[in-house]
Amino acid sequence: MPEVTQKDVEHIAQLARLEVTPQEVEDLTKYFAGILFHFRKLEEADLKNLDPFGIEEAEARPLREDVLHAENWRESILREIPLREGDYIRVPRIMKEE
Amino acid sequence: MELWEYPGWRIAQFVSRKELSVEDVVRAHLGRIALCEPHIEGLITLMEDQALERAKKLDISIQKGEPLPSPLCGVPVIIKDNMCFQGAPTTCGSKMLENWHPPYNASVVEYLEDAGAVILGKANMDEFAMGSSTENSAFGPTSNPRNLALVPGGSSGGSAASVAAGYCPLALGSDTGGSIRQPAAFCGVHGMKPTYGLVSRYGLVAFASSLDQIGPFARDLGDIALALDVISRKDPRDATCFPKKEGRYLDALERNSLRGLRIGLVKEYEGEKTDPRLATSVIHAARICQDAGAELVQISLKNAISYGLACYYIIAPAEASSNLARYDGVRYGFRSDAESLLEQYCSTRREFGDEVKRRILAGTYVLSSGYYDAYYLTAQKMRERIQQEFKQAFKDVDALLMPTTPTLPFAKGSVTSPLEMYLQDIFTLPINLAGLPAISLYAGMTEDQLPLNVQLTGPQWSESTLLGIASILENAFGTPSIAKGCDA
Repeated sequence: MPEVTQKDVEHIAQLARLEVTPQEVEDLTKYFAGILFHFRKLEEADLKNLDPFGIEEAEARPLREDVLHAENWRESILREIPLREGDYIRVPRIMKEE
Repeated sequence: MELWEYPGWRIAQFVSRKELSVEDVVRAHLGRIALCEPHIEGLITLMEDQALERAKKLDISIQKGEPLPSPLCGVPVIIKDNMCFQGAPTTCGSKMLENWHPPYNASVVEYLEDAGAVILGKANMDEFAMGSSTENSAFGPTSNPRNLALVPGGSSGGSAASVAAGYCPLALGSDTGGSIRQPAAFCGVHGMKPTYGLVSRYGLVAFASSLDQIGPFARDLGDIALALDVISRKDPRDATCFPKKEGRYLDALERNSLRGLRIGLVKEYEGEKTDPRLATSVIHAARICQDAGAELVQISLKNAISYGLACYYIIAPAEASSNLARYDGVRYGFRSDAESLLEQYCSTRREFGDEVKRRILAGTYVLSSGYYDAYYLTAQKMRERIQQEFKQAFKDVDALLMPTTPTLPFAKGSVTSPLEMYLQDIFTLPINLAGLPAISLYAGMTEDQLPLNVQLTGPQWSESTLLGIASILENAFGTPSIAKGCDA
C-alpha cells in the first residue's frame, strides 16, 4: 500500500469535487498517513476463501412490487431548489464558450 | 416527583386514564428544556408550537372518547436531526442542509406519531453522523448533562443528552459505528442499536447504508422496549427492512432468571485498551448474570478487535463518499455561486466540515481506480471474516458482554486527533459490521459521578434475549437518574 502524497490528496479532492486549501492538503496528507497505518494491518490477516460480498441474507429479502405511488410532493420538492426559474433548475454553464 | 421525571410508559398510562392532559405533560417537558438548554445546547430545532398544537389535538380526541393511540400516548420524544420531520428543517448538523425542509416524514416519525408520541424537537449531532463527541456539529457542540465540561459522546450526542437531562423520556438516534451506544454510555442512559434491518431507514439521511440503523435512548428499559415495539415495522419503502421478531419486546423484560443462558466474556476487550473502571463494570455485570443463573464462557473475537477499526474506516467512508455525492448545490441544500458547474460543485462542497471532508476523501481514495482491490475489496473480505467470527461465537453463547466504550466521557476539546477519536468506537463498530443488535446499559456511577456502562450483543434478531438480560442488569444497577447539574 503506497503512501499518499500531497499531489495525491489534490487529485482525490478533485475526484470528490471538493475544493481544499493548501493547509487542508497538508493536514489531509498527514491524516492519510495515519489511517493507512491502520489499513496496512489488513495485509497480515488471513482472508482466504472469503466471499467479499457474502449476501445470502440480502437475497432472502423480498423485493417490493414496482408500483407507482402518487405522492403530492411536487411543490415541496421544487421549493428546495436553491436557484429556480419556474419549473426549471438553473445551473451555471457546463461547457466553455469557444 | 416532577412530570418530566417519569418514564414514558408511565406518562402514557396517566394520559390514557385521563389523570393527566397531554398538554400538561408537554408543557412540563418544555419547561425543563427552557431551564437546561442554555447550558446543554442539545437541540438544533425546538418545535414548541407544533408540539403544543399536537398535544391539544390529542387532548381533544381523548376528551371526545375517541380510540387512543398507543402505546406512547402523550409521550414526548426528541429525534436526531438526521430524521426527516415535515414542518422543520432536517440539518444533519451541517451547513449543507441548514435550511432544508424535507417533503415527507421518516417512517419512524410516522410510527411514533401513530403510537401517540409528541415530537418536541430535533437533536444536535456530529455533522452527517460522523464523530464521537458531537463537537463536529456546524451548530456548535452539546455539553454532557452529567458534567458540562465533558462531551456527551456522538454522533447522537443531542439525543442522549436530552434523555439524560429530562427533556424527554425517550429519544431516537442512529448508529453506524456506535453513534447510539457511545453517547448513551457517556450520558449515563440506555441506548439500543437494533439488528440491521429491524427498523426502517426511510427518511433517515444516509451515511453508510450497509451499517446505519435507527434505535432508541431512554432512562428506563421499559421505554426502550416500547419504542422498539413501535418502530420495528416492515416497511416497503426501505428494501433492507425485514424485521423478524416474535411477540412484544416489552414482554421480554418479564425475565427473572437467566438459567439456561450462556453469556460470553470477550477476552480481547480486557486489558490495557479499556479504562479499569469500565473493565470492573463488566466483571460486576458478569457476576450479576451468573447469580441470576447464567453460565459464563470466555470467547475470543480476535479479528473483530484487531481488524474491525481498519475494516470499518474503509467501508464506512467508501459508502459515505458515494452517499454524500448528492450534495452538489443543484437540487436542494446549500449552493455556492460560481462561473461553471464544476466550480459550483467544488465550492459548494467546500462547506462540509473537516471530519466529513476527511471521510469523503478517504472513501474516494479507497474506491478509486487501482486501489479498490487493495482496500475496499480487502475490507469487505474482513467484514465477512468478522461476521463468521461472531456467528461462530454464537454457536457457543447466547450473548456477549463487554464495555461499550474504552474510556469514560472526556473533556470538550481534549481529543484533537481524528484517529484517537475513532478509537472510541473499537468496541461498538464490529457489531455494525456484522449487522447485530446491541444495547449499551447504564451501569452505575464512578466515585466522581461519571456514568459507567456495559454492552450486550447477540445474534441477529436476538433483541428479546438482550432485553431480558438487560432487565436483570437494570434491576441490579438501577435506572439512571436525571442529570440535575443545571438546575441550580
